[in-house]
Amino acid sequence: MNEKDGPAALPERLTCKEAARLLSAGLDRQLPEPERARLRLHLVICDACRNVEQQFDFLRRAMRELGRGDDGEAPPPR
Amino acid sequence: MTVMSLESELAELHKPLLRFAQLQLRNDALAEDVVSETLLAILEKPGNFEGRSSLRTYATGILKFKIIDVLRKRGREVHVEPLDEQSVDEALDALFHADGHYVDKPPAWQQPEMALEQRQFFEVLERCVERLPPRLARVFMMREWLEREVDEICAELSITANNCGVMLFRARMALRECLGQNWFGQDGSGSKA
Repeated sequence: MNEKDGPAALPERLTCKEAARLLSAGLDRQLPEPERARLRLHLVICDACRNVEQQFDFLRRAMRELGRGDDGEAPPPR
Repeated sequence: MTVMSLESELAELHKPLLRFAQLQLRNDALAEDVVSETLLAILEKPGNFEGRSSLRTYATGILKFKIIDVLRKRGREVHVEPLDEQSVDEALDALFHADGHYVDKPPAWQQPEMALEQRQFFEVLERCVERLPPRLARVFMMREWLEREVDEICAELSITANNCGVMLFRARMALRECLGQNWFGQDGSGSKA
């Protein structure tokens, strides 16, 4: 990236709570660009929210496996 | 597959299928009905099961469609009360400081892949879902288990997209907490009462 780092170019910072809400929303719909950018920025700087992101993704996978049982075919490749 | 072995395999599936239906429908009689219909559909046309997936996967797939049908009908009849926004905020607020930072930073979960291979993990997951308030559990299950689009869910339950999003958010946060504490060994000291 070769952008000028003038403060005016930076989007307003998200709190962790807002980031969690956007992470959840992102699982249900495509986030509009300004929100996506703000969320990506937050995830770069916040390891706790990266954990939450992974946990939400994991929860989705787990729910899709629920009821399939362990006698089924191999899990889908990722 | 002989008819006898199909029947005995279905007999083994009866309980797990019933459990899923109850989790989603919250109504034992309706759950019995959809499971019976599912079993009947398989018994009537055993040739349709091609053995490409496990019988359990196949039966679960049919059950999901039956449940969607019931929810569709019920959605038209039953008014779903809007979520109490205040209680949502209170539950979530406990996790965060006023400035929006976590009270306890969520730690990474160790080896989540391994959890997916353990039956016990799924039992914990089910218990966590059961513990959710019924309305949240229902919206969450429709989204994540029945894999339906949010627009459909909102329309069917006559709730706004925003309300739907709040409910899903709250359900996901609650399940994260529940799994963290009950499976991934996150210590429960996070709940500073």
